Amino acid sequence: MDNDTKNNMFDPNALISSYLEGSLNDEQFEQLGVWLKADEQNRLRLVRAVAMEQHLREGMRDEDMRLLLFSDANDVDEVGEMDKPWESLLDLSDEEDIEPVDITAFLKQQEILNRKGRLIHKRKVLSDLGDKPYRAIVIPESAAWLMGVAAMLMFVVLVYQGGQQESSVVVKKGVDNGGLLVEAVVVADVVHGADAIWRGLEGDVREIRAGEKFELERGVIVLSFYDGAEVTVEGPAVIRGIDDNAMGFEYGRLSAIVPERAHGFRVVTEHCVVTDLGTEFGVVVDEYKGVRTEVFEGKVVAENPLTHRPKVLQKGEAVAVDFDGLIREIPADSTAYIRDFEAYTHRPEIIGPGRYLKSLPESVAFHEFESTDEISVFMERSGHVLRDDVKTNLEDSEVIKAGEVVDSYLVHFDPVGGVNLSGKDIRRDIKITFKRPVIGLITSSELLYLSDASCGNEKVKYPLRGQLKNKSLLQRGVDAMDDVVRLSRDGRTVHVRLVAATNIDQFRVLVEAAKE
Amino acid sequence: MNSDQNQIQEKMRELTILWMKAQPMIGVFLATTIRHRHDAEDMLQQVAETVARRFNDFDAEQSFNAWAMGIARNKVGNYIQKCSREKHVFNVELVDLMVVASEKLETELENRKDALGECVKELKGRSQRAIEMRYLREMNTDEIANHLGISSNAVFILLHRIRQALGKCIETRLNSGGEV
Repeated sequence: MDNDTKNNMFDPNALISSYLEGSLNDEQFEQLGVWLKADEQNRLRLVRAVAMEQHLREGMRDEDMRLLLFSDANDVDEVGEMDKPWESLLDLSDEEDIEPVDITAFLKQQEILNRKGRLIHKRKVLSDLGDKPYRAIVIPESAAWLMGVAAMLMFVVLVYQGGQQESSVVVKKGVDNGGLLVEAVVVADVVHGADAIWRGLEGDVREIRAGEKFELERGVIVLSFYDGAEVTVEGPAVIRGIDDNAMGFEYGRLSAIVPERAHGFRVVTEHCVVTDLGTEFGVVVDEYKGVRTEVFEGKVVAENPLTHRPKVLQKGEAVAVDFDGLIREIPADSTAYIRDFEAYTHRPEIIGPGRYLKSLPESVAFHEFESTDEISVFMERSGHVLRDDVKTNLEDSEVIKAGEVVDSYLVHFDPVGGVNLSGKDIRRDIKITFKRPVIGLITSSELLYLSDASCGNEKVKYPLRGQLKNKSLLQRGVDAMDDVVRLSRDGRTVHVRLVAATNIDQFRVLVEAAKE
Repeated sequence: MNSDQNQIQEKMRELTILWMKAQPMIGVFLATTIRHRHDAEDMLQQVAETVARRFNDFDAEQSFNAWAMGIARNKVGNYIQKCSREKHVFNVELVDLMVVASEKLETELENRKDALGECVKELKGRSQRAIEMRYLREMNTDEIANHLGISSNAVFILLHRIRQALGKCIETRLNSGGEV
């Protein structure tokens, strides 16, 4: 079947598939009705398809079926004969009395067996299922035996659905957790990777199962947990699957984006459990097992498992948690975490005292993002379509026309405290090599101010134009005599020498964007 | 235990056995005619309750399956009336036709289920992952697409192909008496 089949309303099989997926449009539904009325064989085909759908769904919830499905014959741990608990539930021969009951009250008083034969408390079943379908059912006193039957049948349904509500697991042999065979369900997929090298593995890791531990020697990966959390892990790192909404983290750096449906996502380290409260956050575990965590958006709770003194962190806050459980506040630095994997893959190579910011800084205004040691480089926009012509200082391409698609980077140098305090100039030389050709360099203050709107990022605060009392332009470009910005002959490498004199030094690099 | 109680328990046992046999067929009928799965599951409970309440009315000379199916059919009829303003609801005529179709397949449902169990084992790789996501985790096509790194349309086609393959496998197994 080709891609058009989905839209081919005259393909009965495609109609059935669409019906099962709930994706029929009006015309297709009408066609399905006509087709069903026309021939009994068509109706039988639909019923068979629905039956298969039901059997698949039931089968997936059936432990035996899952064992058969997801384990090789030799890989399956032996399990005993599955109990048929409903048979014992329905065998009421030992019951002395069958009293008129409200079925909800009846259920609350008892424990029942679920489909796997394990005892579970009825209250759990009710809470799992929600009380909607069951609360209103009251058996009339006038039909005593019928009450029992109704209760029994409801039990059948409840037990059946209780089984459905059980946490879904796929048992595999070989995953060890303290000597116990554990339920190894896939908890997350590796959905992106860049230069990822895994210790002891030749190929890629595509999924993480509960209990599995992996060591990412280098590179970056993005994990998509089944409950919705997306986690970017930078190597070197040691990660471990826990469940659909939790991961173990022994070493390394990660950032997590947690959608609303996955709130409560946990990152479990040896000395700290970080629990999301609706948020975007980062976690670092160093070689001494010390933990740092920082909130980019929303809130998290950081807690040492021994001291049980949770600390709630708000946006922009960061703490370090030591092995003894001591939690102390530390300066936040969100640029140390990769928060946009796609943008990160476009990072240039930097040689010399330069640092590529893994995510956007909040501000590059005067003296708001300072570092004496390093020149900072970050990507402002990726695959950005220019709305207006952009003037540059590159001789060969003074104007980049509107409609061009570019990646935009800002190079920024602002020594701590300003150079006047240090009494001498501070010079830094770096070489930045981009993955694609540079098509524009914006080095003058005038053009930088002009291009902030079209090439900058609205989340970043840039220097404000004209802050001096004499209305002269506050310099921010690489206008000084000693500053050097030179593009290599192949158009990909920018040689930079910045000498911080009185103000900050910045320039913008526009790179040809990758074609989709 | 007096004779009345014995009689009641015997009746319950009888109902239980009959219902367990009829339930798969009725479940399939409801799932076929009621588009929303959770509505169909709720409806199955309602049918079970009504069957239990009215079991005294059941004529043991008649077919229990047909009697229970009649109750299910009436429930679906009421549901259709309530949902008449909703899109994509089968009309009564079609529901009646689906009753007949469901009853015809009653005897083969169990065999089909067994055959499916064998056929599913033959799925590998992405197909296996896709049905795990679809039926175990109840993920929609967009979510599956995200995890498999393919488009939603490709997921639709993948699921369609899996169903086709499983359907053929089931037919082959049934026609060969389970030996493939």
